[in-house]
Amino acid sequence: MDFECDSVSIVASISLGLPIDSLPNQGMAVQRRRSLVEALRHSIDMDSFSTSHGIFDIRQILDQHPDIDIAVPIKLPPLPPEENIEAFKQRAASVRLRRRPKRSKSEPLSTTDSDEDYDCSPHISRIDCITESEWNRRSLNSTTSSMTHSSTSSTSSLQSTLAEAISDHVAVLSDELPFARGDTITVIDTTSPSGLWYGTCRDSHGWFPASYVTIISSTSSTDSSNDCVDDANNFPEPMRRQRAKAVEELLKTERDYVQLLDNLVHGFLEQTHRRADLFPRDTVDSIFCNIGQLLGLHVRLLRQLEMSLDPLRPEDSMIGGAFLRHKQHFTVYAPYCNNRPLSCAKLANLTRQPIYHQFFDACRLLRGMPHLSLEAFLLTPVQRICRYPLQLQQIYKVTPAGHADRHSLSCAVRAMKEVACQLDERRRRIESIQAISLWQSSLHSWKGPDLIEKNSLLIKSGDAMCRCVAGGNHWAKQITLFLFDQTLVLCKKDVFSRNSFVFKERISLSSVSLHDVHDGKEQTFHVSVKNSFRLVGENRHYLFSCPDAKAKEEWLRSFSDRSQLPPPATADEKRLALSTMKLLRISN
Amino acid sequence: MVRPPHQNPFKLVVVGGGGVGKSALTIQFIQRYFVSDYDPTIEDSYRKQCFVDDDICQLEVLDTAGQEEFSTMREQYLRSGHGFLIVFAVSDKNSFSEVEQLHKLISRVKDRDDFPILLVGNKADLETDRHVLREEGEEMARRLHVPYVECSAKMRMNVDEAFHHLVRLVRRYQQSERQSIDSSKEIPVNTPMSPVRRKKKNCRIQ
Repeated sequence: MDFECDSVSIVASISLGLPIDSLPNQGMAVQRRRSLVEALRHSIDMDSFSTSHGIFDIRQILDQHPDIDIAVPIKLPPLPPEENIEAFKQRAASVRLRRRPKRSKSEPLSTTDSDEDYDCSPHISRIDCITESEWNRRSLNSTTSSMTHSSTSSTSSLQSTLAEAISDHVAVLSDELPFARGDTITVIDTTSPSGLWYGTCRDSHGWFPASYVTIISSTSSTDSSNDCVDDANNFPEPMRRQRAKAVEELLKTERDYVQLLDNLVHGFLEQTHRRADLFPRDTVDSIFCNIGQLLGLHVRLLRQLEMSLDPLRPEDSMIGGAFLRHKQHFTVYAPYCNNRPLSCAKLANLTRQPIYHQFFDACRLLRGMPHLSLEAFLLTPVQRICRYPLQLQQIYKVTPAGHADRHSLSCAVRAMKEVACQLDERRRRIESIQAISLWQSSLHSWKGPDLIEKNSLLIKSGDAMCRCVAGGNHWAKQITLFLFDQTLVLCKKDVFSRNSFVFKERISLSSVSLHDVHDGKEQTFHVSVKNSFRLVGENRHYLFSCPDAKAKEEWLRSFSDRSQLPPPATADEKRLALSTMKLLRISN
Repeated sequence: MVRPPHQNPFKLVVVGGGGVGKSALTIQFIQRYFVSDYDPTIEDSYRKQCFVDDDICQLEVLDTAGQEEFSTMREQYLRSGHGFLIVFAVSDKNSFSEVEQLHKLISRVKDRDDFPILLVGNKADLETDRHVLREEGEEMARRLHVPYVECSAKMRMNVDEAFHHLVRLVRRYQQSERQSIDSSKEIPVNTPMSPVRRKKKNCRIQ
């Protein structure tokens, strides 16, 4: 564990431009650094980590995902003109170090949200390696809110601050924002120590001197809900505290999750592209699937959540809306979840070879990720998607009736449950198709088109005595029935092996009608029957006799229940089911 | 840099009904901390290094909170697990009745009748609220052929013991599996098959 921490902090400190000796235990650290570099040299092409690509300079997240900006039209501010990269990095480092310490799990949560609560120790955990966009936004949030808090005494959630120009500003450089006196400017970033702010005005954005404007008001993306929630009777203090905790927990876990996805995409996926000799395209696809899409979705979601977070009073934050807005987009999880078995099989195969093992280990160390296998990281999305209903429910429980977020939160809980259920159902359909396909291939002398062309579920199977008249032929046999959603398959037990079956006949259920047969003398076959039912079609007549009354009842119920089945698998799902099965067979 | 295979981490999976304290148990084991006033949401996977019987081992603990209703998602965990804690709350009869089903699910996914599994009755501090007697737990454990431990994540009672016990089960199981592979030369080493593999009873779709 120690080894992990040190390596991580060294990598982090190198990339942040911190001197190594700021770390404790210098001698050990240097030694460990050497072994780390050694490890990297073995497995990763070091050139690919040139400084221009900056290991922790994750500014590119948003550049590489241009779609991410659509939902929230805030552009990342470019660097202030007079700041060079070094100064920027130092600023970054100092901001990182000043961030509030990560709550240790062994401490109770604190509800105070004070900006003076600095962590001055040089401890840099993986949590601190947040995306740059994120810390920009976070520091913006805290700065603007504390700033405006003092000037306007407002406690509402402040996301973008409006300012009025008190004098003309002529843009000299291309990244400066021109405006005329009296213009209204939306201030986005106030964190630069240079005295320059970043903002937008008249469809353009850029830097301008803070002294040229005066703050006039703050807009909040959340509807001001203070009126109804300030009622102390309605929203008692303990409940407030709990809601604040629950909201902060959601935000914290979401930030961690986005960080993880970003690490997977930029720390692993991208590195595999650089080593096409080790990772052919289809291998990469089958391991990572559409993880980039997940990242895109969650960067957007996190952004909206951060916008709706009230940093001073987290309990007043409106959480539900962000989830409702993105409800449709969670379908990107379907391919991901369905690909998991294939991904696991591929990874298990690869990591048996030392080179891959080292490669993934190096990717992990470079990103300062905890000591877990890549497979564990890739499982996280499946875990995360199931957690949202829990977390939202937790917030909902401590949201009083008058709270403005209450309705949308209850919708969000339902929506996220639905998302998980749909994923689950889809996965089950695919598994069921695979099972049918496997079963069919285990039958002897199968004839006709594949079962899965029409069917996606085995409903029931069991033994019965069958009497049949088809054309001029009569036969009577003890058979085993397999009822699928559209087809009934008749099989004989294999005489040589009791556990396998020989295909006898298939009956398309749309071409026959089902009739109950009363016990006693039967008219067509002139036999005395018990516990029977019949299927009648054109030129065909089947009479099935079950072993007992209970079995017959179950069969009749299964036939009639067919109408209430969940929707059949789509062609797309069938294709996916079969291709996954084939690939799994190959990789095994 | 390459670890020999026996130093690969043991993946322990904590399963059980909703609200039985899976997360609390995991947090208590890994971080020695109990969250009382609200349901904690924790990181999804934990890594811990510990000594069991003077032998160091790496543990990867997976918490499955939230997956109770979504069986296909849960199966994804089960596949990768080396050992399982099936947790129920002694104050919750319903959670106890789910135990057998979970056991069956693990056996099916693993295609083994005998797998390192430990039955855990959590919330044993709530003596007055107890709805599942210790004897009932033991009876169930006998039926499933797994050991039974009662613990309390809140009081930190038997928490380490439960996880360590499971580690021993996993070790013993992996050892016996290695031996059975070594002894039967027909089975190639890279496809871990074992004589304890469950016999296919019927060629039916489950």
